[in-house]
Amino acid sequence: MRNQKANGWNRRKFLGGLALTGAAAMIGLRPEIALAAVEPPPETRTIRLRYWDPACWAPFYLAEPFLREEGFTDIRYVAVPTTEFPDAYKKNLIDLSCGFSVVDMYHLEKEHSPHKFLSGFHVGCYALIGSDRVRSVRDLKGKTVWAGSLEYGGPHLFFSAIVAYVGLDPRKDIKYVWVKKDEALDMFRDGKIDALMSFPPGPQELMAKGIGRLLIDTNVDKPWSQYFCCMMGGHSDFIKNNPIATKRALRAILKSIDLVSREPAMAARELLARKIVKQKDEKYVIQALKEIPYGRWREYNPEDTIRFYALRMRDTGLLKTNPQQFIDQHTDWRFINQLKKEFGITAW
Amino acid sequence: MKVWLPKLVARAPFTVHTKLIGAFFAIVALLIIFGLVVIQVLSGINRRSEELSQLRRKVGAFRQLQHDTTAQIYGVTSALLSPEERMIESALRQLHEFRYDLERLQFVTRDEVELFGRIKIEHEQLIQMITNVVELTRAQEYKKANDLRLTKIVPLADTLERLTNEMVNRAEADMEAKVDESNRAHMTSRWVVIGFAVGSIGLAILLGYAVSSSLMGPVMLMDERLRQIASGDFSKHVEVPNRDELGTLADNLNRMNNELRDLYQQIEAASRHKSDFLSNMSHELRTPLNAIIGYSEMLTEEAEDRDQKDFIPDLQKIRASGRHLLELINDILDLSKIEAGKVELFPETFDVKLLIEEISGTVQPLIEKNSNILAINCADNLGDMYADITKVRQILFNLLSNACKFTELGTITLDAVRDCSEDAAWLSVSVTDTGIGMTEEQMEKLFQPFSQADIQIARKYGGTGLGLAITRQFCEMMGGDIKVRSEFGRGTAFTMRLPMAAPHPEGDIVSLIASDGSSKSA
Repeated sequence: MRNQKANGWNRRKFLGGLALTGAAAMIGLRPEIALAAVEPPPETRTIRLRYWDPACWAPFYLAEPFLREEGFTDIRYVAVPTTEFPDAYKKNLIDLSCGFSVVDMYHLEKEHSPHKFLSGFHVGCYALIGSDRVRSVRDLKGKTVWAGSLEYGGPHLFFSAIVAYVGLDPRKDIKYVWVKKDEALDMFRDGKIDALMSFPPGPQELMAKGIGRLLIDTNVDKPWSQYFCCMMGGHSDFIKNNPIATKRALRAILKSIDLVSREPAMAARELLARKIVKQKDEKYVIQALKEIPYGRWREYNPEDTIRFYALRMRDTGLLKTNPQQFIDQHTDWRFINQLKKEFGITAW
Repeated sequence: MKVWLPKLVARAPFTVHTKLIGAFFAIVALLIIFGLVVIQVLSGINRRSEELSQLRRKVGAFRQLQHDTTAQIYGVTSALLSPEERMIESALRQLHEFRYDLERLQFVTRDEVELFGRIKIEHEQLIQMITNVVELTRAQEYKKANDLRLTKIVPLADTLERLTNEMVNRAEADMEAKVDESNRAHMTSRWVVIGFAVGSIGLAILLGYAVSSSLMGPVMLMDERLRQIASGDFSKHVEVPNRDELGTLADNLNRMNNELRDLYQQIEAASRHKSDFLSNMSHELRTPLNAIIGYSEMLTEEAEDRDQKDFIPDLQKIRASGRHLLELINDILDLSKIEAGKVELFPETFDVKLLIEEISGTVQPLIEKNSNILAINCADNLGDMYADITKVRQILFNLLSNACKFTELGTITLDAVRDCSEDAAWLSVSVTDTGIGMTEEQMEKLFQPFSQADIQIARKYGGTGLGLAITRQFCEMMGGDIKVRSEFGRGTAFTMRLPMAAPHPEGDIVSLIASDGSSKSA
């Protein structure tokens, strides 16, 4: 895990923050900011946020100016790959995170990671792309699939839920190839694998190049498009000890989500500037950020996402706890429910 | 527990009857509890089945509503594409179904009022929009109708689908929770049932063990104690913890033991006094008697020398009577010595065959007296014996003289064999006669001192009745025994069995060379 509060970031962050704050003002987010001002100050001025490579987490990375407005002065981004995610919480290295819902759920139960889900983040960034030999998800039975470079990583767990939904056994019916993403894309192009499950910008690149067939686009295809793909969570101790800070941080990130939803190109440029995505992927990242329906956090009930994925994971044996138990143990919707009222949301 | 539980039950201040009834009721109570638990478990299973069934009905209703929504969009789209009255009527007809299914949903989601309320609002909006589209279509304002469909109806349908999906998810999650609850209940029930079954069996065994031990333990102790009392051991008391009838019985047994002990001590003292008296008296009687016998012999000799033969028969009668009296006194003395524990053994090595020949010579006059025949069968391997020769001689003499006394014109047979069974060498001598024999009743008191078969026999055949008692005492003193078989009127057989090697006075093992040359040790 690398602490990215390096000196090299400061100027960019300052400029980016300024630009984003300006944009926020432009798109009319000021009422919420005003609300934040009358709230008591956060219990802590320091906040540590997780970052990693998925481009869809852009609002999380770009929330810094909003966090400053909420009273945080020491904002740290800690690089946490999926494999180290439970440890990051166990070792108390991060306070808030954004993660793939199914992965976080899996780790919460398996690793007893001390964190709770706080809110939805965005819907459907994953896409399942099949070769010409595959026409439907059920055709994947006995086929070779790339679902991430790690077993029980985000793509693998999402893929497991998707194939289990149509009656396939993700462990027995599928042959997996555990290679790096670039190698997997090459293999797919060469016809060595039959399907590929990936998050942005991989699917966008393949589609743009006319390679493969889009089997499932979780942005639009039901039921996946009806649930959050990524969700926000926080360290249990941080939430418990700093409820005001948690709420303020959540508010800042939600504002950032709205900003990215309205300004995907600007957000993509920020990701490039911060070297979170590669230059060659810029147009695909912009496309992905445009396609991802970030505004859904206002409409969708995050609890239902947990319930839905808990059901799917139970189907595949990846989760032992029953959905309601899981919700009771590992979620805390107090903050998002309060913010809902602030934001005037009545959808759920 | 093995010890304290029966003690605890024994100490409980209840009667045996109450204890047995108590144990029975404890087991019955357990069975009743077990039955109640099973009924509870079954009720739980039944309840969960009903809840699962309700949830299934809920999911069905949600799915039906989703289907209705899709059908509505399809109906409206069809009506727009083909604006005939028939299609419009069909779309309106579907609205009725929609309402009906909504009512069904309201019925099955009584516990989720809030979510149903939201769905209902959305549905009412959708119904209103569809009605508007239908009206616009009838008014042939197709563009407006289509715009309304795309901008309002389709997003509303999406929202509705999501909301119903949420309700389905909730229902499914509830089902999963019920399944988990059912599994947990199953596990719990299983362990409860197993626990109760094991507990019941354990308790039944425990109660059975405790009650039976608390009853049988004292009974066995008292039985053992009674055996000891029967064998003359009055030194102990039976101690039982029971505070029931058995405790009382044990107290009574101890009291009986004490009384018997006192009685026995009195009898023992009396017997000892009797033996001492007999011993002293015998000794005191023998001295003048020896003088009488001696003087009668001297007088007989003098009468013969002086040729006064008229006195001789009388003197011989005096002498014979004196000898008879001396024998009687000797027997009494022997018996009293035995009873007083004053008889000592003086073992020595002697040839058994020679001893038998010597005795056969001694008893010859007795044999001839009743015109009997004596047959002696000695095994060739009799060899030497290490024992008190005087006692052995007296035993054989007693047996033979008895046989002579009760047999007339018959045969008396003496069989002597060496028996090497039971890891030791034994001398087995049987004296069989063809005399008057005995009944079972007579045999029972045969070895008792001062007792003969019956009074008539005593009168007819004479004797003190001490011979066989002394014989048996001698046999037992030398580590052997004596047995009798008899048939009334047909004869009697006494079989005496003595070890060939008696323990040496210094405790050494005596080795004897058997007549067949093999080495025997005892």
